[in-house]
Amino acid sequence: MSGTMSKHSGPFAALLFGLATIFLFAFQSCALPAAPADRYAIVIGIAAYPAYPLKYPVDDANDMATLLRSTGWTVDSADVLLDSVATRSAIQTAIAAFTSKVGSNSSILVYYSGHGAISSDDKTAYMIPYDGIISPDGYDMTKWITAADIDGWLNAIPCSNRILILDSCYSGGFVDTSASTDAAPANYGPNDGGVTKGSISIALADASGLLAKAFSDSSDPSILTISAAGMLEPSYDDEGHLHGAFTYWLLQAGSDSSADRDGNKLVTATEAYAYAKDKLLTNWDVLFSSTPTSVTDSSGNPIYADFLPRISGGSGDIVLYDNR
Amino acid sequence: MTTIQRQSGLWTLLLVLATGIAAAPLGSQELGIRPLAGATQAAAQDPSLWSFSLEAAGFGGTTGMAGRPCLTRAAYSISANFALGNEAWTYFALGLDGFALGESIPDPSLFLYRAYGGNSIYLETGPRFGLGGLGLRLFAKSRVEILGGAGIAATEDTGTTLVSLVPFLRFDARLHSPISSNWSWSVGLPAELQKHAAATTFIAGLSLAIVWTPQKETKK
Repeated sequence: MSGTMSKHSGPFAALLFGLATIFLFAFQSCALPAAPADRYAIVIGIAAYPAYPLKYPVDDANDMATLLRSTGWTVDSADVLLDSVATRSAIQTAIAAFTSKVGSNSSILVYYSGHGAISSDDKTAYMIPYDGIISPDGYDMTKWITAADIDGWLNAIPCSNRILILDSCYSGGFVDTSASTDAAPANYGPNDGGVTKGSISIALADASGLLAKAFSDSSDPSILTISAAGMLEPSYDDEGHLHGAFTYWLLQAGSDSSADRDGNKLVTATEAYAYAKDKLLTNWDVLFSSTPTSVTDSSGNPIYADFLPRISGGSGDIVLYDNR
Repeated sequence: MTTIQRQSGLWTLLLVLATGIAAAPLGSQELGIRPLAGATQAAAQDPSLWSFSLEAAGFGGTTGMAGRPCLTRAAYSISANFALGNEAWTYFALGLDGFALGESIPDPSLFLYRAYGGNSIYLETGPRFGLGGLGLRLFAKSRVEILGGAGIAATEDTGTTLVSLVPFLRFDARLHSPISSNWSWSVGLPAELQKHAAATTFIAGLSLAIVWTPQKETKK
């Protein structure tokens, strides 16, 4: 048998070597492009609402602005919108101002840390700017920003790539899963209605829906969206890290080399999301998955403070942190 | 016939692939062309053989979609295949595999295609050709298998909780060489055309498999 093997291994080895050589040459030319200069970001952090203040959104925004500036983004000081400056009109105006800066190859990013809400009837999700809350008993919902609003504002900018990052409650309502199904329920957690399922079980359970999506002539979402939480989940300030629980780990993704899964010094939005999600699961969710908080939902059910970040579907990804 | 015998091995191989017949081996005293060992005529008398194989493959390829550039990426797969056929045809080859596509390289705007992976099932069919007629000792007991088919994969975008189904077309050319009466190994050139969300990916690569055929093949 060994004699037979050696007799026949010659041409196979030669064939293998030849094909491997072709394979390597094919990829040798795949050099990474130089860092583009035209990447523009707006960061928004609202802690000091007229009522229901939060603790760390301003810290989130300031640290995110610093990180983005050091990883390839231009963040003008006028594009850091904090507290009372971050009204609906100011946010809209700042986004519209991208138009005069960008080119067709540009990327834009909006980061938001603040309150979020969702309507109980049609599940419309909202970002709540500073002027969206007037008093403990008064809201101005005309100032609230829906997914349709911000999609319209961002899509009006003639650029190549758009990223939206939301650290706010119920922000999963901004996430378009496109041709995919989210394996995690809208309210993640063992006490909240389920945990993440595997791809095979999802594929079998939702085969017809996924097949229809797979063969549809779909397009990627025009905005790559990352949310701190699912559509039915609050997100939280983290007293230990003095940031939003999600944002803290998203910031860490910019400097922790383990976030850069392929080691090319480019941390994509998906890589940063995956890092933050996994860290949140192992550092936050484990602490709160079985202990209800002191608050209850509108039906009187206890709320568990575990939550899961989400990301939009589609084939595309965008480099978030350029660490070259 | 004399002319055919003067052809190079490559031309003879092309003739084999094109017609399913082979020239008589060099040095043969026979004249004219005869059916390839294991071709249709012989196959009709042969019992069907089933085989089981384990395969590892590496791929390179490109992904593109409307409004975005085509960008290169790499992939790998580990698969188990069950095949039923005779010496002239693979009736069907059923494959189950685990695979992963790495993220693509980025374009100048730092857009790229997301990594994903999962498990797939595919079905292929196609002809088999013995290479005994080539007159090359090294390939005397080798066999070429040309397969085409389709499959579906349940995938997860790497690092996310996003699940999708990915339909794909698959083409595979394999060269089998026996190790013993029940074992052989094969080197292949698999290629796939996948549709993941709005993007289409073409990958082609190199596979290596160990094949177990429990029945003893009839000697020709």
